[in-house]
Amino acid sequence: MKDLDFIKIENVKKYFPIGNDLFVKALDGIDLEINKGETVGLVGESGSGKSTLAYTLMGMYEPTDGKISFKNENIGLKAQKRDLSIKKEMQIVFQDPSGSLNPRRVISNILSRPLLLHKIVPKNELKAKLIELLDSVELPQEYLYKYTPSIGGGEKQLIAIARAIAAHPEFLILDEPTSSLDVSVQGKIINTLMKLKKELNLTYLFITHDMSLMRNVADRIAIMYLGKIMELATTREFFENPLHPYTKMLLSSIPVVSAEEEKLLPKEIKSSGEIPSPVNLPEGCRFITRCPYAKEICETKEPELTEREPGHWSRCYY
Amino acid sequence: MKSNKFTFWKENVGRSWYKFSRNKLSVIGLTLFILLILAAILAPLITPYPKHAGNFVDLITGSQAPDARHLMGTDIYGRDMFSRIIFALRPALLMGIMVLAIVVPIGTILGLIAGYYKGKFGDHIIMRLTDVFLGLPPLILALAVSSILKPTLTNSMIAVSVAFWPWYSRLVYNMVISIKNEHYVISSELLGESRVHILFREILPNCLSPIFTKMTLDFGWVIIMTASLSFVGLGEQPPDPSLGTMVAEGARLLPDKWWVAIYPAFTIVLLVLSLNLIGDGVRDMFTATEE
Repeated sequence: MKDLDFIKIENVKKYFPIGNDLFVKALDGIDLEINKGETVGLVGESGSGKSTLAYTLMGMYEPTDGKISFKNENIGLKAQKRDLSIKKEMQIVFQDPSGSLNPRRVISNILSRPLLLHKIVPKNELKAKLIELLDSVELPQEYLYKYTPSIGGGEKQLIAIARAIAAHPEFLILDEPTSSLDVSVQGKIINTLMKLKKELNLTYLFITHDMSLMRNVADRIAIMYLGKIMELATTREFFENPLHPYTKMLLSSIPVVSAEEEKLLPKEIKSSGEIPSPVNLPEGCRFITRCPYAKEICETKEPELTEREPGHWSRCYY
Repeated sequence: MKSNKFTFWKENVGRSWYKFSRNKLSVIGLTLFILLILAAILAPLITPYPKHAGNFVDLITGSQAPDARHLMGTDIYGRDMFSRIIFALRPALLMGIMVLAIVVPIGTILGLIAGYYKGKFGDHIIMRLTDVFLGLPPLILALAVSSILKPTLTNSMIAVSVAFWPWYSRLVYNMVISIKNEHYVISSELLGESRVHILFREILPNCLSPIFTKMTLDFGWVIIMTASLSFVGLGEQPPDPSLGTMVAEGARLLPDKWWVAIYPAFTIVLLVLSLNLIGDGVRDMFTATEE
């Protein structure tokens, strides 16, 4: 049976003040539930607030408004104010592995911190556990005494993943874990992540702007645009029956290599325009500046996220 | 097992030495500095007239030009200049070591705290205090402090330290405010690490290379400043040998009895030069090179 209230995000807002009573509305009312054991893909252009949502979930930012709960416990707080037991359950893998691993600390040090801090293993079993961790991301034990600047980008990301899973968390946020890596190692990272998810019964929030990757890894996909979720559906529904014009636009911009693939893409809408500034949002629907179907009502009143089909939500009047 | 801790350390020390030794001038500087340290330690054994380092007067042999008996001549009291210069290395080096030992931990810890809590109350207190001290010329500040205190070696140490600590807190502060936003620091925060761990194990190791580089260069500056203080009579008092005092005594005898001023002055130059050359090598050692 599924634990329905694994992670619940209710109307979460995050505004960054930029002076003169102006705010960057990075998150402008996010509602999202993540069930235990699933992979939720979070897609959007740069500047849509994906990473801000991830950072707010992790406690790097305190939400301006709204509620975030983890197993019915309020976690809408800065990380410093959270319980150690909650920090143990949630971890994040950042986009750039060079920045997320301390270049002046040896890998055995980096990996042993979560183990010691959350008392996962007694000290005399530490070494064996470290080797086991490296093994789980398919790296040889020689890596224990290396510094991260001397290893490759893909290997660094594997170390970052090993650190994230070291304390046996339940929930892992993957913030574009492959986008800074060579194409040749992206597949290995994804396979390792999927293997670990199965083995450790993890729940993923997978942030990316790579739609074809989402198709392979995600159970459900949420589309973000200017701090709001525009469409939320199961992966199958999402690709076969996209409802929101923005989704269609993103899908039509997936690069294709063959005529058969071309046929699968929605035709009616082509990618155009730039994402507007999150400071001065358009009145009414926030997608109006780029939407070919915009009607009068779209200019005055913002549509709600409504369930159009079971499990398929869309923020559009049509 | 192939990769145990020992080979790991050996590799890293070897790599650092390789980077340092690529700069030949730094190796020369290091050699010179080691020789000067050895000379200071072994002063009673290698100097021909160890007694001349103290209270000794022999007016018959006063003010002799350099010759075979007195390599660098004698001062007006008939003391062997060479012996006195070698003995004067001791307080000079001791000053450098002690001042850095006081200044670096204080400046670094204050900089770490102020940088990590940027914008908070502690930051304002520490950094405004730093600004006040940085606003005064270091030599004037040291002169002011040492003129209040009794002229002894310990007190000139305190005076020079007062002038030097804010440079370290400023240096570390500026590094911390950029390093604390690195994802590895944020990762540790999210993991639940204590602030002490984050400050000293995650942030500090990434500040060390500029600190070390600045330390080698400042060692020379401390020696110059100490010499300046004793030149105006605020450092170590006669008859104990001190390079600055010797230059001051000799300056009155210039240009006829040039050796009394020139040799101690040249020793100061050698000391500072060797440290500056080492500083260049240390900087190269810590600069990350592409593998």
